[in-house]
Amino acid sequence: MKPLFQLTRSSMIWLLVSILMVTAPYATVVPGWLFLLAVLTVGWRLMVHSGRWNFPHWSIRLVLLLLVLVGLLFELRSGSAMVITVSLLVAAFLLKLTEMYRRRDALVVLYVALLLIVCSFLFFQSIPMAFYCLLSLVVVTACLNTVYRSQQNSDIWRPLKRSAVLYMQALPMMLVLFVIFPRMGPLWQVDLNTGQSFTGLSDSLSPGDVSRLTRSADIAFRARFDGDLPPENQRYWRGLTYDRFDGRRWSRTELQQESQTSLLTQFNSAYQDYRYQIVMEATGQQWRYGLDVPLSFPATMSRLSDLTLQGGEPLMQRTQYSLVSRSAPVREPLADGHYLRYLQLPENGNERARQLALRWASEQPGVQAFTAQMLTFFARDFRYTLEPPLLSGRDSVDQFLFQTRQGFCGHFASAGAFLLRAAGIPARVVGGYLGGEMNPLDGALSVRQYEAHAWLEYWDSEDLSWHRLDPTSVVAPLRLEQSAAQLFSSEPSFLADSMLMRTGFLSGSLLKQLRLRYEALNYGWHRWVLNFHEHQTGFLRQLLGEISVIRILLLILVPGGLVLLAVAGSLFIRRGPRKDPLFLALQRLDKHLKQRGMQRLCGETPGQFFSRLGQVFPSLSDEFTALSRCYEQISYAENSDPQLQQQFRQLINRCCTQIPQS
Amino acid sequence: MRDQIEAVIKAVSSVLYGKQEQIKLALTCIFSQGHLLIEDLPGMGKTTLAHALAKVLGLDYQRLQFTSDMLPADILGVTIFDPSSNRFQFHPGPVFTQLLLADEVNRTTPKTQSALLEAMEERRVSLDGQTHPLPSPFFVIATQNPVTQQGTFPLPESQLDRFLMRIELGYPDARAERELLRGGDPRERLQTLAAVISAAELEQITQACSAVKVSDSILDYLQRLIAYSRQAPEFSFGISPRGALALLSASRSWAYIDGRDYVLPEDLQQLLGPVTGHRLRAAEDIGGFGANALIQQLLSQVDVVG
Repeated sequence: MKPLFQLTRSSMIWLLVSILMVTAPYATVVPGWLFLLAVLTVGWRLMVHSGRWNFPHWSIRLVLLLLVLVGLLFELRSGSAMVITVSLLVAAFLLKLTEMYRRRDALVVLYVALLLIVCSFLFFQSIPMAFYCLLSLVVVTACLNTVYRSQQNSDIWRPLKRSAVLYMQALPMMLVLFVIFPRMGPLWQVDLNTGQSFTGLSDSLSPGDVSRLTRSADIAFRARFDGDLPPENQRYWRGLTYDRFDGRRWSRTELQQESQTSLLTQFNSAYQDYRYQIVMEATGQQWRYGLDVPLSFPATMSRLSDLTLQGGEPLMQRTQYSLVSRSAPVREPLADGHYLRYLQLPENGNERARQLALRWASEQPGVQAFTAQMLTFFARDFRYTLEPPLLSGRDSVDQFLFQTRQGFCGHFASAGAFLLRAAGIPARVVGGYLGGEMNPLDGALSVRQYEAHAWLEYWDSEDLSWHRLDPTSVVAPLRLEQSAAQLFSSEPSFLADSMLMRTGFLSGSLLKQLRLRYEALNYGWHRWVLNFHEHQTGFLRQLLGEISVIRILLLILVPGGLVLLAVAGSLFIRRGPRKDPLFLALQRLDKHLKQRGMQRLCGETPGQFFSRLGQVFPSLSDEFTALSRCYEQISYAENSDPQLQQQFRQLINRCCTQIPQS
Repeated sequence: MRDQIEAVIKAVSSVLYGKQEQIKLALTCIFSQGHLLIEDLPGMGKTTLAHALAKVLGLDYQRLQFTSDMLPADILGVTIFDPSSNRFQFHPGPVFTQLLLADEVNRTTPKTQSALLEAMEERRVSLDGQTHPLPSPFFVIATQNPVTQQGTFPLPESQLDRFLMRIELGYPDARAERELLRGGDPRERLQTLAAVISAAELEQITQACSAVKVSDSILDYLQRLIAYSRQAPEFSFGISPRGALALLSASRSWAYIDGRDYVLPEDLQQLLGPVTGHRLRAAEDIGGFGANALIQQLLSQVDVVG
């Protein structure tokens, strides 16, 4: 039987640290019972290492494997495929520990550990995680180092130092490759977030929904403007519109895409354009946020007829895009179908509200007069609160308008749109965000979930345009001018999910400074590291002029080749012959002698060689004797007399010229 | 000073014909303050050479014939109770001399062989808790029969390592043999030898030898030789640092005898066999018959100029 490979002590320690570091991030991802497997296999391997137990019999390993497979099959019913796949990898990684006989097995374990480090990026992409993974890499490499080191080395830290030095040396190469290596599209894509819930707007709206979002301080998206920022009361971030009302909930119907140019002509160029980039968090939904009204947008996105933006597919990871928006009313000659759609109301219900709308319409005709009436109505008796009484009745609009009279933006938008439609004015509810917090450190605007907002738009038949109307602006004018955090600070439900966040958002304290700093860092991280491929093309174009495979290859190969050449050169210089004039002169003689087939033998001393030459060329016998004496004096007696050197060179010259050519 | 060396060589040659080379080697060994091991068949003139050297160098000497029943006390001396003075008194053994001729050193048991170890290395004798310094200078010239002969206890490596050099005499050539046969008993001529140099002169020569210049290129060559002996698979072990130092100091003395004040690669090549032959062991050589073929290989495989 072959002798078993015995891991050294330091190797074992590093292996355990590697396993711990590599599997720790998965604790929140993989099923909990894998922890038991980890304890079992690691414990068993330790007992084997200490010589107390044997490796498990193959039947035990088989049973373990089957148990794991069955367990994972059960998990398949609840978890996503990706999580199960990764769990399988982790389980295989742990099981391999129990059959680590040879060095090759240890290498397999470590290579899988490297794979696991990479896989953890599927689930976590934050800055701390990146550093953690880098640390794991260093540790695993240190472990690889110890596996190859056969003799027992008592210094445990040495491999770590070695590995850290290796990574430091690799760092410049990594940076270069990061910047210039072309990002290729994935060969396959995994849907990681299936079954995962997102905080944010949903595709239907009932009046209480938005206030639920105020419990969350998660970032919805961040925006960085190239020029001016829109004034605070104009920061309406459009998400989606709701056009169908069932008496309680607003929902949306599928809309057609709209070509970009058809709208463009209808804009009034007197309004200001805003140019900005948005880094949007994953929502699991198709819509994308943009300021009212998006004018130009990336080709991967499309604009619907309700002027909302839509991406090609549900947004599963943080993404970045650039937009140009113009804050202006939009002309749209409503076709019949559209016209009716924006007037849709349930057959009956909310009768009092309908009557109120009809009465206003008959008292003072005209859309402007109606909206003015409505705003006055809201401004008079209504109160803005995050915790409105529950609207439990069947006629929720009536209940809100005539009984509770307390509500959040959703209530006002919903009721306003109802009134407008009841009076025969096309209207829709718009969901999105209002506001945004300026981070002075990086100049980016963070828009958070608690800034979610709902307003409405009505269509004016006089100018054939959609106009924005925000009833909240009259009920709670402060909502538009202050940050939402300031406004809501007195509300107990605001950010109720996290006391720490509440303090961080409300006070102008150190905590807030820290938070802003971290967010700026994170934003840069997302913008420049995770989404570098967005900038890469531009950067490469700046560098290369025109991007082609040849140019990129040259960009990688030429500096790489230069570095290798420099290394080779330094090695050559170090290993090369000494630049001793004496030595060079001798070399010259050697060259001449070689033509005559004469060469100093290995192990032949210069003295012996010269005397042999003297016998071969009797005419030069005296010269060679003198040469021998000179060489002896210079090389061995260390006589540094310049005259001697001179004499030596002369003798060499004479020999070189007088050696009879064959 | 050189004339005296010439005279010494000449005087010894008058007793041992045709062995100039070996005489020079023996002198090299003494000038490097090392111990000499002469190995050859009986009757080749080992003892004659040792005797002649002792006489010519004017050293106080003792001859010790090693036998298989010899004990350490026979070499080192013994402490005996003296009833007249009522005290223990140390009676020094034959080792307390300037030149010790250890004849047929491998005929005695390892126990007795080891008794010489401290004397040779530390130049002192420890007995009954007391340390007795040996006279200065102190040389051991040991002779031994080849290990293949019967009734021998091969010297262990640690003991061999104490000898700076091991030389062989070999048969004399025809002319020297003729002279020897014609000249009569060498032992008689040995009696007529007188000291050529004094102890003080020997000391001077020793100092002059150690001042001989060794250039960097010589050290490079020496290090290449050492490295080769340690790496090549033919050697079961390489030249030890002590071996390297021995080679260097012997080369200095050899160069001095040759009339130079600097060492040449030729000196190293000349002395590599005598100085390291008994320290090296070929990988296949289980019996330890020396490594002369290996020395030749070493010389032909390692380049002199780097």
